Order: sequence, then C-alpha cells, then structure tokens
Amino acid sequence: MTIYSDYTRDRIGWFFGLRAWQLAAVSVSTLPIFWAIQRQAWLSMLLFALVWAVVVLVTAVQVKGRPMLGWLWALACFTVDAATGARRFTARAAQGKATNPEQVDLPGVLSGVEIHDGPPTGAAARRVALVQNHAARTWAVTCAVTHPGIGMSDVDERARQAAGLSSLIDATARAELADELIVQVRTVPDDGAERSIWVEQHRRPTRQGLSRQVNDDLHRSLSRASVRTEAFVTVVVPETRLARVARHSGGGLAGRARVLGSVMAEVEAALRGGLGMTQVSWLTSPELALACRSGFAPGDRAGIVQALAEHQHNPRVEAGVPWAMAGPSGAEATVRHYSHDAWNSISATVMLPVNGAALGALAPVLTPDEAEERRSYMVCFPILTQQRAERHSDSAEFAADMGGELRRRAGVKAKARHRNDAAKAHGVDEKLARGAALMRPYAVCTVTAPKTVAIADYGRRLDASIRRAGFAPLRLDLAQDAGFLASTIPLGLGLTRTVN
Amino acid sequence: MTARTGRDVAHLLADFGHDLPAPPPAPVRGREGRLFHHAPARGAFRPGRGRTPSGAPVAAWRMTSDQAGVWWPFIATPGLPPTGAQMGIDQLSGGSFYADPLGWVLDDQIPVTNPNVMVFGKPGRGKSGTTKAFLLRMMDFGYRALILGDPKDEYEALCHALGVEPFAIGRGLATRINPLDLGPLAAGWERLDRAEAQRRSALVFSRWLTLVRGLVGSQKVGEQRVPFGPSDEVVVKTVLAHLSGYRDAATRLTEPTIPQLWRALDEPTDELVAACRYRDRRHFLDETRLLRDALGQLVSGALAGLFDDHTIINVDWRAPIQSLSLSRLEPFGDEAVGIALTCLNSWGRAMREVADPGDLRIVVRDEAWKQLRLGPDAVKSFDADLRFSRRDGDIQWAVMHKPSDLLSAGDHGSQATTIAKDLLHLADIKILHGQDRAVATELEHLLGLGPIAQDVITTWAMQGKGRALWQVADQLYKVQTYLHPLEERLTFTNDAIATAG
Repeated sequence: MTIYSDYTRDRIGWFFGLRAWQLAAVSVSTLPIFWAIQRQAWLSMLLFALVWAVVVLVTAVQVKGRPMLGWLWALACFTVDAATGARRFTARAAQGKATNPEQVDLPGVLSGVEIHDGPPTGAAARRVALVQNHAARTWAVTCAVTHPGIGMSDVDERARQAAGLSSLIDATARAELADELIVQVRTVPDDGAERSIWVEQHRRPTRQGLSRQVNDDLHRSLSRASVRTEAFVTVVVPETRLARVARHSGGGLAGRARVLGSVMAEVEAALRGGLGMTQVSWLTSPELALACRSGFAPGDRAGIVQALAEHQHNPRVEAGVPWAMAGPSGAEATVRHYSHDAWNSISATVMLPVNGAALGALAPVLTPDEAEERRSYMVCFPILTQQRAERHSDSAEFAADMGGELRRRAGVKAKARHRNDAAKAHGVDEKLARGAALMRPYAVCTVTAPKTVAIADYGRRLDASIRRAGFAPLRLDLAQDAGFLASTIPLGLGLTRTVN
Repeated sequence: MTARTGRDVAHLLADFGHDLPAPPPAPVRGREGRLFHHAPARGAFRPGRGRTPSGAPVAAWRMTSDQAGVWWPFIATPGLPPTGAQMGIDQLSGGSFYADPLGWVLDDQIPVTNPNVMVFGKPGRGKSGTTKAFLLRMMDFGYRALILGDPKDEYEALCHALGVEPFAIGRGLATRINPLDLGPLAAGWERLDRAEAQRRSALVFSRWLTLVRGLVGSQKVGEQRVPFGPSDEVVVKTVLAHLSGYRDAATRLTEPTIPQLWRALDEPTDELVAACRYRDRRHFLDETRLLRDALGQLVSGALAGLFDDHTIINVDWRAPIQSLSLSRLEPFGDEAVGIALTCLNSWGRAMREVADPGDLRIVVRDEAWKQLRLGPDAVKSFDADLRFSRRDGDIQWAVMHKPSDLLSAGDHGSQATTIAKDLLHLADIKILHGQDRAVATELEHLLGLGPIAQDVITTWAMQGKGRALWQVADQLYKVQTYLHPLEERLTFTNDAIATAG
C-alpha cells in the first residue's frame, strides 16, 4: 500500500524554524543586551534580557498555529467585533429588510459573494451558477459529484484513484486558469425525505397491515441511525487570470461564463475519467442555494425536498430557496465554536503525520460517532503556476542548504528530520521537471450538532476521530466561523488566499 | 475599395429593387465595465453582519500533485436510491441500504440489467431471514411472493402470518400439480386469432419441451445422463401436439399429463410412427425405449401421484404469498426434490406467462442447487427462467449455499457446468452471506471478488447473522440486515434445536 509522506509544512523558517521577520525581531532585540554588557550596566542588561525574552515569546513561539502576537491581534479584533456587535449576524430577511430575494445575504468572509446564472448549456439547457466573490476577486463553479468510494477497492485500484486525483490537479495546473480546487464531503444524518416521498408514491392499498407496519417502524428507526453523503467539487478561478482570457471570448460576464464553461468541461472530463465519478452535476443557482441552506441548517433539507416533490404536481408550491434566505437567519462566532440557527459547529484543521498516511486514512473523520451529528470535510488544493512552483522550489532548496550551512557553522548537529526535509526540498525540483504540479493544500473538518446538545463533546469526538485516523487536529479557535463556512458551504471559499 | 467612377454594385442592385443589407456597425471597443466592487475580506464592520474577526490559522502543506492521495476524501460508496425494501445499514457508508431489483433495472444510473438475485451463504448466516424480510417488505409496494418449492417448510410461518395456507406436496396428500399445465395461456383460446394462437402455442410447446428434456435428462444410465436428442424432441412434440389437440386445430387445447405422454409413447399409433418417420412400430419402440423408460420412472417412481394428474389446487393469485411445501419429499432424497422443483418451475412459469402489467412477483427458489444437480437440461430450464424474468416482470430469487453449488450441475468442464457458471452472469445481484475460508478461492474464481471483499465474506459476515456483501452489478455493499421483532419471529428457523439452549 502506498504511503504518502513526501510533503513539508508550507511555511518553514530557514533558521531554527524562524522566518525572516521573526529572526530579525529576535536578533535586533538582542542588541540592547550587548550594548548594556558593553557598558557593564548589569541591571539594564537584565531588563533588556527580560524584554528580549518577551519579544521571543511573542514573535517566535507558535501556539496552536499562530504566534503569540497573532493571538493577541486576533483576540483584540474579536473583542472589538463583539463590543460593536459586528460579530453577530442577523439576516436581512430575518429583520424584514430583504428587498431583493435574489440578493445573497451571507455572513463574514462570504459577504462579498454574488451569484450569476450562466448561459444555458447542454440538452437540458441548465444554467450553471457562477459564484463571484468580490472580496477575494475570484470566480467559482461547483458541481455535486458521486464517487463509487474506495471501501472495497484493492491496492491497485486505490493507486489508480490517487493517480486520477493527481492528474486532475496536473491538468488544472497546465490550463493555468483555475488556481484552487476545493473538495467538500458532508456526511449528513439521513432525514429520510426522498424515502418518504417514494413510499408515499409507491405504496399500494393492501389488506396486509404487517408489511406496512414493518416498513414504517424500520423507516423510523433505521433512517435515524443512518447517514447520507454529499460531495461537491468547486473550481476557483481568480479574476486576474480569467479577465485576460475572457476578453478574447467577448469580455464581460458572458465572456467569463464561456471561459468558465471550458474549465468545467476539462474538470468534468478528469472527474469522470481518472477519478471514475459516476455522476457530475454542475449546480444551478437554486441547487446551490439549497446546498448552502442545508449547510447552515441540515434539518431544513427534508422540508425543501418535500416541497420540490410537491412542486412537480402543483406548480403553486414554492420549492426554491431564495438567496436572501440561503444563509443563516442568525449566527455568531464564539471563541470555541460557531453558532448558526439551531445548530453549533466546531472546526479543526488537519495536521499531516510526519510518517505519512495511506489513501483513505481519513475515513474515521468522515464517519459520525453520534446519530444526530454531521461531519464536513473540506480539502483545498491551491495550485501554483509553473513559474511560482519553480521559484518556491528554488527557494526551498536554498533555505534547506542555508539552514544546513547555518546549523553546521553554529555547531548544531543536523538531525534526521533536517536531512529528510532537505532531501524533500531537492526532490520537488525533480518532480516538477517530470510534469507534476506544486500545491499548498490544507484540510478543515467540521462537526455540526443541534444546539440542544453540548457541542464541546462533539468537538472532542471530532478531535479523537482525527487522531484515530493518524492525523493531528488543530482547532480553529477565534476563526470558527471561517472554518465552518469554508468546510461546509460550497461557494469556493479558500482560507489561505490573499486577495489578487 | 471605393469606386471612383460609375456606380457600385449596391447602387446597381438598388435599381432592380434589391437592397443589400447594411454591414453591422463595428463594435465599439471601449473599456470594460467594472464587474467587481470593493468588499471587505472579512465582512462589513457593521453590527449584525457577522464579521469574521481573524483569519483562520489552517495548517497548509507543500507537496507535489502525486502526493494528493493523502487528503483522499471519497471514502464511502454512495447509497443506492431509497426505493424498494429498506434492508438495513450499509456499514461502509453508514447509510440505509435499500433493495429494489426491478427499480434498479429501470434506473439508468445503476448498471443492473436483470432483476435476478442469487443468495449464497453458509447455513445459519441469515439467508432465509434476508429473503423473508425482503418478501414481506416488498408486499407493501404491490409485490406478491411465489415460493416455488419450500423444502424445509421455512415459509410456513410467513404464509400463516399473511393469512395464506401453503400447499403441501407429498405422498398421500391431495395436492396434485400438473407440470404440463396450460396455465393462463389457454384462457379464451377459442377466440384467439391465428397469429396469437401461434404465439401462445410456441410459448406452451417450448415450455413443455424444456420440462420433458429436464425430466428425462435427470435420469441416469450408469454414470451417464439419459440423452434427449432431436429425434426424441420430434417424437415428444408430435405426441404433445396430438394430445393437446393442437395438431387437429382444436377449438380449445386439451391439457396433457405426463402419464398420458408416456402412454402415447408406449402404445404408439401408426399415425405417430409415420409422423415421426420411423420404419414401423417396432423401430419406433426400439428407438424410444430410453425415453419411455425415463418418463415411466416419473410416473411410477418416487414422485408417482404428485405430478401425474391435472392440477387440483386452486391458487389465489391475488394472495400476497403462495408457497408449495416440499418437506414431505425429503425422505426420497435430493434427486426427488430436484425433480419436483423442475416440475414446479414449469408449472410456475405457466402461471406467470400472461401476467398483468404491474402484477409484480418475487419467485423464490430455495435450495436451488438441488434442481441444478439433475443435469444440463435442468440447468437449461433454470437458465430459461432467469432469462425471461425481465420480460415477465418477475424477480427470480434463488437461494444456494455457495457459488460452487452451480458447478455440481455436472462434471468439470461439462456443458452443465458451463451453463451453470453462466447463470452467475444472468444474476446481476448477488447476496453473499458468510462463508468459510475454504470458499474464498472459489469466490475469487467464480465471482472475481478481490481480497478485501473475500475477507469481508469470510470474517465480518461470519461474525453475525444477516451480514452480507451485496454485489449490485459491479458495486459492492457491506450490509447488515436488520429484522423487525415481528420478522424475527417469522424467520426463526431453529425450532428443532431451540430447546437445547
């Protein structure tokens, strides 16, 4: 079985793990100490040493993914937002202020999102939803996918599947349009909505109450104990890349839609080909709105599905979810969790093990422990252009060599870990030469549970599941809202993107 | 180019009333309008807007695309549509598992092309529980069950719970079934036009020949099966055409029986001898001796008095279930049960030949391997049933112990074995309950299951009742069947040993 272990942290300091600004801050803060020693002002030296220690603590020590300074800044922002009420979200519709039902009203990092209908495509003339993120200056399209899974696949089949994922990323990198691929999988408690509709439509009048009683009882008990899996793939194209190409396709929204159409075709071919997806359906605006609404409020899905079924017989039944109501009616980020409508969520990012992991190792993360919880898993593959990849590779090689040299001069023995990291840095260059793409992926897992239960317990179980899978969890405290939105709402939100 | 002298083409054509269309105005290439407006990355700093206080410190990694597998997200096999019987939980995805063979055939997303189901499993692993649960749950959706041979009276409790008395077949019992029953095809024969009469007669004669071939072929001379060649076929066909009145273009067909067939062969008329192109009566008797003796065994042998007269049971085809109990034949051995199953198959097919649209039925063949041991013709008969299931709208549900039961149809490499192996391909749905490790190789050999699937069958499925690997076309589902307490009582098959505990 293939073990994947050829990766490094995205940002590694080249001297004892310190990055340039941290090293500069630590170095500069030592100067007053030497100045005091030169003056033999021992009391001052002690004071400066204390200041230096504080500087090191604040700048160099990483605590749960952030340096101390970062925590202090985040906490300050959090407190200010709480004090001003900016942290709390109340939908315009909930306030009775929604003037346009099609205007997107989402909280926080998704507030800059606008949805457009693409041109009609295919035999069914579907109009795929184009997601425009004004804040990130990106475009995104999302498809719902169905994959046969790998539960019963043997080693060769799993290797083929992994190669399919790699070739999807390579093809995306070669096209040099999309710069992020986001895969979301939501394992949702089964609400039995489709089953109820089918039973209602297919039940025959019979004198045999036994069969009906058995079916009804099973539906009540088994459906509550079972889950359903939803998977989405989102392709994100930055405006900086799209605008140039779209100009040749007529420009404007229509030109961008045409180019995005070609991106969708390429991605779909790779999804159906190498990855063996059995279904790929690019979401229209109403479908995307349903995916968003059910992301914020899993319990609402059954009612919407029922309405959709009734709408087929009675067009007067309103089945759509207006974008003004696709978000939460009320939400609030707290330090340790995110609260949205009648649900609470806790998110954690996944740390890869040093020893690597096999394909499918994340299975425990996606399997809910309790009947009423939902697990969401998002993996984002930010793909670097060839030029940036080579620059990063050169820089990593330089950092590895420089780190090695500095350690040698400082008389610090190079450990096996350092040697491995250096070998990996040099290996990237060879892989790039063979046509592989360089990326900076990350993953976020979220557990959602009703407000009637203690979400902290579910968070602990999520952490335990991640550990059971061989990975390490890192709670996204103070940013639980961003973690939830990125991992659960399929609108192409990336968490490491800097605005283009 | 502008014409300096004279008139241009447009002017010339205008004189004749033809105005050339004006060229479209060249698009004004200006600066593209702004598609983006400013939006704060973390949301507006206003009360009630849910601003994100800080960026998320996600742990990002740097890797090349060949390492993407470490993040692999598609673990679970998606569940099948929530149609049909809710059987239990798919342990791989955690989703409910629904079984709907006919629905799967109709669904283009599921590559199932026939609704035939084969259930394999070691005794005591939950084969009959799964079967009965499926039958009972599908009845709510208009399905009816026909148990074509219940060798152990296992379905008796279910029948009684549904208010139906199963038919028992055995020595000394009043039940008679004529395997050469005309079935519903004979209804209104006198009013049929020529084309319809020919179509129906073709169906009837084909079924009769398949049955007689199977019954004759089940007899043995030493180690060899009694052959049933083309000459035998001509003879039997001629006799049946005579006995039924078809040859004489009778207004209504007469239903023959096996003893009538045997008698007609044993005392051939000159007309029959001539029609079958034999020199004389002696020549006919010499050539058909094996055929006659084989049929004679059925008339006077172990099954005498069971399948040798007109059907006297009156089956209520609107009842939710009908079962034909064969437990009383057990003392006569597996072969007798096999012959009875073959007769019942033919009779059952007759009864289903003209089914109303929407009359959905699940035809269960328990211990189907006993029938297959009767030789290649019995296998062919079973093969025909599986092939017609789609046309008839039936779900053919065969229960066996292990895939190699099919190989017991004949010697290694024989025709019977080859056809029996092909039967596996005629069933797109296979339910594989627990098996011993010794069977793992044949699972690979016959079904092409990989090591993981084999391991599931030989370990996980052996550790609990009702656990099975469902093979739906090429997709595998690890299913735990859940029984309702009411079903548990109906499916309990350990009465004999229950008191031991």
